[in-house]
Amino acid sequence: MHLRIVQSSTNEGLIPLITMIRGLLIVLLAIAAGWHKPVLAIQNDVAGAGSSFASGVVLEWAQAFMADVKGRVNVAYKSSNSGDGLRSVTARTVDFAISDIPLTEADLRHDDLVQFPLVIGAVVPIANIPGVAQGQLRLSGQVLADIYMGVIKFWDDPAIRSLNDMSLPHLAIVPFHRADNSGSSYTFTYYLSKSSDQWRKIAGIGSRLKWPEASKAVKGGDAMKHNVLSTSGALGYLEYGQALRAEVLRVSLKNRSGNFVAANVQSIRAATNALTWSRKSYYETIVDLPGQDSWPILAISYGLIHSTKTDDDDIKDTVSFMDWIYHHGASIAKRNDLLPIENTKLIQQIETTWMGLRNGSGRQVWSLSEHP
Amino acid sequence: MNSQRFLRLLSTAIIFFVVPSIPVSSIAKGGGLSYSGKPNRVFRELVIQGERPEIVSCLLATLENVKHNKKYNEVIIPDDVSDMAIMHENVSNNGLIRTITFSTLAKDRAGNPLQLNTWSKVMVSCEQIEEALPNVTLASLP
Repeated sequence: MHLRIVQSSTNEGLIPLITMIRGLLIVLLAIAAGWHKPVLAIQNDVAGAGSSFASGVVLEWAQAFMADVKGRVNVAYKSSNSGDGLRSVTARTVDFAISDIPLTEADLRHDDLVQFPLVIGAVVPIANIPGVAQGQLRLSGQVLADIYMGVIKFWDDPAIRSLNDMSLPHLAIVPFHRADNSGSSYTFTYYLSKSSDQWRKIAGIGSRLKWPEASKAVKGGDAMKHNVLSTSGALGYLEYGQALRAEVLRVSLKNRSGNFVAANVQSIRAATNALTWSRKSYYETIVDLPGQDSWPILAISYGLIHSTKTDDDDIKDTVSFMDWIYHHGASIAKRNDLLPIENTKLIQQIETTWMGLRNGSGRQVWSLSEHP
Repeated sequence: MNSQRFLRLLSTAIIFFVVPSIPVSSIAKGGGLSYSGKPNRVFRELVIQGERPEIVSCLLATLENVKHNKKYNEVIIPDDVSDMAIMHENVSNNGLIRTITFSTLAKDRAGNPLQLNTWSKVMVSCEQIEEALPNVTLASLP
């Protein structure tokens, strides 16, 4: 979003009434739009919304970018969920969305959107079982689906015991799911769908869907974390880095090769070897990818911006921020336990796409000379 | 720039205050819109209303389908479609195939005008191959 309020001099005699009214209107509109502190120097505001999965890294990227451009651009990001980001960018109330719900080429064309991968992570099942230490619990996709469908109700069920060499308590399993339009739910249910024919039949893949009655609804990633941490017997799912920092029990999963793997940067990286980025939308299948040591549930956070009828300054600054992420944001991504996009050919391809962005008059708005 | 800003805020206000009050079923009864390669108003409205983003192209294609369907000429997009629609994806020789299904009511094109109820239960199936526009079929349900 773009806001300019230039301080005017009052020493030039009587200000015409119309100028006063226009000035007042601008200030009122600015306040109504949520800028409570009118800016008295030229500064561009870039606003984004969406994924809570990527919120930590996006906020750190924004801080570092703003420092690099010496405050010329202010970047604000509202973390809620991927669906909210897509709503906001579609309504053009923000300049960019970040979403873990990948849109197809047909979806993008319906609203002149451009989608590009920003960072790669993983979704991890998390649990709260007294007496079970980190790294001990193993599950398969089929068992996870059976738990969410209410077929498996206790942690000492024979199907769970057969995967684990330890004693498990006779404790009721309390599964949680996200009730909002969540990219993490999309990815997690994609994995359940791939693993269980019964799940495919009754629920399928969805950022939101009718979950079986066995599962309890929570709204947002933070609520998921707090509910699992505070409920004995709980089972949920979370972005890998968030799960790591929450010190919650992370579940190892059986991958496509039949090996049990723990989620970590190495196993996530192993799965990314199968990504091809061959589609124009950069849409990728993200679960159950090949590889002996591959983690089976990847998640890709995509940036989304409009390709036409954009405001010149807004889109230039938005794309400059995105471009800065590719060229300067890798270390921040790694610090957040995420994999940055470092494929030079892919980055060049994305930059070429950005050169096709057009303003309301159909003029090109960004070129490689805009590198921050 | 100020006038652009004003128009932008005005359109935002309209979207937030007007669009949420449009029920999905009324869009359906409006007859649907075709995909022209230009930004699609109905697509935007469905996304802004909070429908599941991954099924919106299917909903749009369903509305388009009944404009030309030999058997049905209207379809209702249920208010709970985002919760009820079932989506699958497979990778085959044809590439990536996404399938979305949901049950609803459709109006028979050849219905007797004297008959009060010409709506019947149908299963809508959208098949999207390699990210192209979905192909839609409406099959009658008992």
